[in-house]
Amino acid sequence: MNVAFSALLNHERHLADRPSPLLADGTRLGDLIDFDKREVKMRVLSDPQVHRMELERIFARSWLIVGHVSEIPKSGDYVKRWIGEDQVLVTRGRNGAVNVLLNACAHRGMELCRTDQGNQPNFKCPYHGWVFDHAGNLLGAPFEKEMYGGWDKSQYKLTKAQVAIRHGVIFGAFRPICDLDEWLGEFAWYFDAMYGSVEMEVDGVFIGDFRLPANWKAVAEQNVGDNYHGVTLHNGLIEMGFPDWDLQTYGASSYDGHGLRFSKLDDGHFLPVEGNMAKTSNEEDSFPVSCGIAGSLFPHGAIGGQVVRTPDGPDSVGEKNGIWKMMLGGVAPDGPGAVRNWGLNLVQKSLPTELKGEMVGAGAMGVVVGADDLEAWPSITRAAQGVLGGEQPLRYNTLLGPNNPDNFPGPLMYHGVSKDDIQWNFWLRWYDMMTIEL
Amino acid sequence: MGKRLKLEIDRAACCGYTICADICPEVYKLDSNSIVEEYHDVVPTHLEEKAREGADACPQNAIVVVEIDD
Repeated sequence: MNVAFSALLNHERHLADRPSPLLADGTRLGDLIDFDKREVKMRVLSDPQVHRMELERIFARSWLIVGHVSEIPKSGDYVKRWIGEDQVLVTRGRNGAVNVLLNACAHRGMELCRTDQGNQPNFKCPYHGWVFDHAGNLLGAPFEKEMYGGWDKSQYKLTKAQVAIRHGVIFGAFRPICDLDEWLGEFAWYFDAMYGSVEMEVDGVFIGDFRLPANWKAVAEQNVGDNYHGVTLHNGLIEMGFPDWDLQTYGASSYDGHGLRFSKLDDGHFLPVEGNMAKTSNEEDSFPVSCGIAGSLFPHGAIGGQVVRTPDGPDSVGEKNGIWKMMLGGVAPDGPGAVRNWGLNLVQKSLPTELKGEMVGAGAMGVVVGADDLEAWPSITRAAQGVLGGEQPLRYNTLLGPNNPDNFPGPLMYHGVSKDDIQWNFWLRWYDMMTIEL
Repeated sequence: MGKRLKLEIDRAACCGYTICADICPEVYKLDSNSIVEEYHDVVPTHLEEKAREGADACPQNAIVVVEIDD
């Protein structure tokens, strides 16, 4: 047995030995995950009590992607996002600082801001009119002196999340278990390569606040690294003339629950890192994607993108020998049976405007793929609602094992036939967060 | 010729937040019900920035800053 595989077994044993929360019907959470067979009971996709635990133990304690700094460039700008089921306002204050505020009035709790994004000098609650600045400070209330006299306004701030910004990506966390560096762990190598190699800016919201009747884990578990479904669920792509789905991929993932896969390249390089525009194996490819990346940060922050070759050759656009387009997004739960999706396109800031437009259009393949996935995730969620469906396991019993290709500079690799490793790492982190003692 | 500032204050819109007076008490005076008083003078140059800030901060949009020729 190799070292990496024995590390997995030790990690599984460590998790399995933890005290496990008791559910209302006497089942222990640990009874729903089988570390020997690597199976998870589908009940976890539909059980309201499990869902409430996830909000408290996972979403309130995690660093979640809530936006990009280029969405809110000016003082007074804001966008509305979610941390779990807590709606938050991501704001740019007068001093330029980015804030993440709970969108609930400190007075009687109404949602302060009712629009998805915009610019306004302050936030006035539509109910009784309390007004807050972009850092969550109470500025005043109607007939304040008559109502409250000389009150101490500092006692009535909006609830604030902690904020961390990495390569322009804004993360928010209400009760994080660690700082963002530790949260990303070794996987930061990939995040930094994707978002930190060239300066990027937002170019349109491609999903605003799209609600889908699916459990968040049905979405996250696939996005983090499932490639096996492509050959069947996305067979339409092949029929449309796209190249055959390649089961061989480069994947990366850690016990922190983050993961991604990227397309196979004939020189074996993770393109954005190496900065050299490698050729795809087939020069006749009908679409100019040279490296496609898709993944997720735990619990669910969608990361991914493409580095694209231009007809005039890679050097024609200069920076890093390619054109960069990345996406950012998230899936926020809305009860156990639904999610809200949002996502952004980011394009290389230095590109001419017309090329930026073309790059946003280069995501057309994702529209086809997305339509397929939007069938699968609600379908799995429906199946999990029944008694027998809830007892049915999700199976992750074929593992490749970690292996780094020669000369590849990145950590945490799973290179080869894309098996269940990355998705299983997602579930290990899920159970870790659900049972961790703080 | 430079620009100076005058203020159009809509007392009916004022709800007594008093934020304007917190920011620029020299310009924004309150009556006994905490409603902002009208201000007919030209804003002194050294108070222009604070007067603008006070107007921008009004949750009722009750204060409009108008530029006039000096």
